Amino acid sequence: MTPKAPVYAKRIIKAPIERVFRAWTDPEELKLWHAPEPEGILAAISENHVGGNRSLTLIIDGKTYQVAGTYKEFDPPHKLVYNWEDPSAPNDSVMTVLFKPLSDRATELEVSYTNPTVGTVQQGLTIIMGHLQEYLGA
Amino acid sequence: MVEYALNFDNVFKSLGDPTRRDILQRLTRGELTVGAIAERYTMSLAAISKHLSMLQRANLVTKRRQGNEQVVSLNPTTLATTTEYLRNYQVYWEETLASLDRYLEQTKS
Repeated sequence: MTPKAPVYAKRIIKAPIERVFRAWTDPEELKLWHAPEPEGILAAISENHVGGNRSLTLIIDGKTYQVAGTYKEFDPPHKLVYNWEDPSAPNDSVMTVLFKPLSDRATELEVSYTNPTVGTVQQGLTIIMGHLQEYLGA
Repeated sequence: MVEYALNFDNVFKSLGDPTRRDILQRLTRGELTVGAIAERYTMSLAAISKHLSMLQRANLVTKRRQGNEQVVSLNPTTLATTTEYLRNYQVYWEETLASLDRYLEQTKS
């Protein structure tokens, strides 16, 4: 079993793979769905090639955040890898987004941070928290 | 995204090292003197002190003086906050994917 990435979300999206990939990489579309409601996205950039910029300006709880990175891999419509300099995220976060076709109308989408340091951190934390719970008799 | 007072860069840097994780694990069973910690490892006392300083800077442990000894104890709050932080990130992404699903459902032609 491969070690679990620290941040991991998986979902079956009821749309064809090309459609999901487009929503993920089209700046105009990104603005329409990316920020969880009711917050909004002020600006989105996605230069769709290796080395291209990806950037989102979001408003969360009335505050403006900018997250930005560069595409390390751009393999439509299957895989995206980009670093993600988010002021609130661990340093050097690398996002991997995998698109898997399940049928003509369904795509499995998997999002993870493939940061080796944070991966070890999470494993370490799980073990340490386990010991701590044991120690505290919880 | 919730904001935290903790410096996560220091926390992650600290937890990125196997010796430091091992020290933390030992401390989950109770506080230990610097000497008692150093005894468990083949590295020098100076090297262990350096590891302890990093853990202290990350707020993962606290040190206090007891007579002529230094006692190190775990700061469970930092561990708990870090776990919560990573969990929040997961929740954020789950919500984002749900939002994409809704959006594509609405724009279906």
